[in-house]
Amino acid sequence: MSIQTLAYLSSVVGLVIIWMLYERVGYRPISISVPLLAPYVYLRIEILYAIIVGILVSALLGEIFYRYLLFYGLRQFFIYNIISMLVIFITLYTSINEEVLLLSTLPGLFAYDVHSSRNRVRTAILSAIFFTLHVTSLFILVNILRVV
Amino acid sequence: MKGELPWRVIPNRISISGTRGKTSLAFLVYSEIVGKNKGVLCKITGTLPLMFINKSTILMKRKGPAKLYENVIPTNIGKLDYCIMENQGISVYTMKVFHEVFLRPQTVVLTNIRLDHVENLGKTREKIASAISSTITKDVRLVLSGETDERINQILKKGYYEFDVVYSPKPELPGSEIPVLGDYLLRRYGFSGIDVWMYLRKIESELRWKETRGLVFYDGSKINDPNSASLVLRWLGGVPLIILQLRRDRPGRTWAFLKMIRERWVDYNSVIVSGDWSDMFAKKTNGISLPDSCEGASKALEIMRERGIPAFLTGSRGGKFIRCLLEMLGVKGIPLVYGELPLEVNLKSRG
Repeated sequence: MSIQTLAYLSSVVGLVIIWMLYERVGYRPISISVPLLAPYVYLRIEILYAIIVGILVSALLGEIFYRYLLFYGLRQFFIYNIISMLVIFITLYTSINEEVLLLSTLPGLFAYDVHSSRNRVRTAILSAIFFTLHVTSLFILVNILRVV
Repeated sequence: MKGELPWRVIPNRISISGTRGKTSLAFLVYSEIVGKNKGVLCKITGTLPLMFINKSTILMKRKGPAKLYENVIPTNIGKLDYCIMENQGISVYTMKVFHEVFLRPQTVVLTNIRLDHVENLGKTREKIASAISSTITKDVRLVLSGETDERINQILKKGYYEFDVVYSPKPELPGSEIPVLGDYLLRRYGFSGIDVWMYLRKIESELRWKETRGLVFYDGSKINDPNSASLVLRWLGGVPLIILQLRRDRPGRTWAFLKMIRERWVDYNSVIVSGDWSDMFAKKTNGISLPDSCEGASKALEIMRERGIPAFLTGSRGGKFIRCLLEMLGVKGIPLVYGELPLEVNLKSRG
């Protein structure tokens, strides 16, 4: 099994865990972008800063659109994703490829999930914890299974 | 967007939330305040969204589905003291957005917690209570509850606001919490309150089986949740025929009514069902499925005549079957709210 295969499967497992949590608590306590972002970061650690900047800028600007321009719902979802794509474009301008294109909306999705959550602070913290656990688990699994 | 946000210009803001009776309560409180010559704005929603500014009424035009932007108020309204708005959100998100960016209320009134909008809020009353309480923002100082279930009130209670439960003197009367809440709310804001018993008698006089051409029925088509339907049915008494209109865009409601029928929350003779999933529904409840059309309504009328027992119409008013049936039974329009519209109704149109 390759590292990429393991990372891919871990995404599926991550999504299933989030789904189970949703069924248990009745709302989305963790952003569904996390199981996709974590393997991405594990495989390409150099994009971590772009993801963090993408999430922070989308969250901040999105909040301004929400509070001052009264954007909400799907309108807000588009705003988060567009801001995220632009931030990723600027931060990873020199290394743009199809991978970056696929990655580009995920920080926006993260910001939207936090925004639309019933408990924003909890969702943000739990998403960060889940992200860390996911990356750590991948690191441990890769070393235990000695996949290349 | 043209207009102003209520929280920027009106000092006292009240959000009317909960499951049933929001429109009635908002209008009741508004009518009392406007009668005292105070500057007041009231927004009610539903199929006919209306905004009342002092003694003027604005009929709001909707293009497509309801949006929270209809809570933006006109700029040239002068000085107003009170704003009473019905929370029109049906999901946790939209209810929260309404509180957070549009109204920013200091007082939230929760009329009751019933099994409605289960697809968005949860499949138990506890989950719905938890969902609704999460929409109450940190600026809120007072939450009034008309809910009588203590377990539900415990879920609604939170540390950062004062929480008061208001009990009806006649709890078995469906809707009796509405005038009681109105009275308490008005007194909290320094007004003289209302004659609660007069309102209770009015509700009582309307909650009875009606008779048309030898057919006995009750039009509960505006009663969209099984908790409320059961309360009304228990109040009316008897073992009726339940006539239910289902809607494709309300799968949670279908599920909730199925639960009510299968678990026999009330005594009933049999079920006639129409609309989406009616075949499945009828199969699971040993009921009768009829087409969602005027032909289906004629057939329902025949069954009502044959059985000679009262019929309770419920579920939804949005279906050809129920509309035709109500027309055949001579039901005209829907009583909007308690009382009449303000005397000086100045119906303007607003885009």
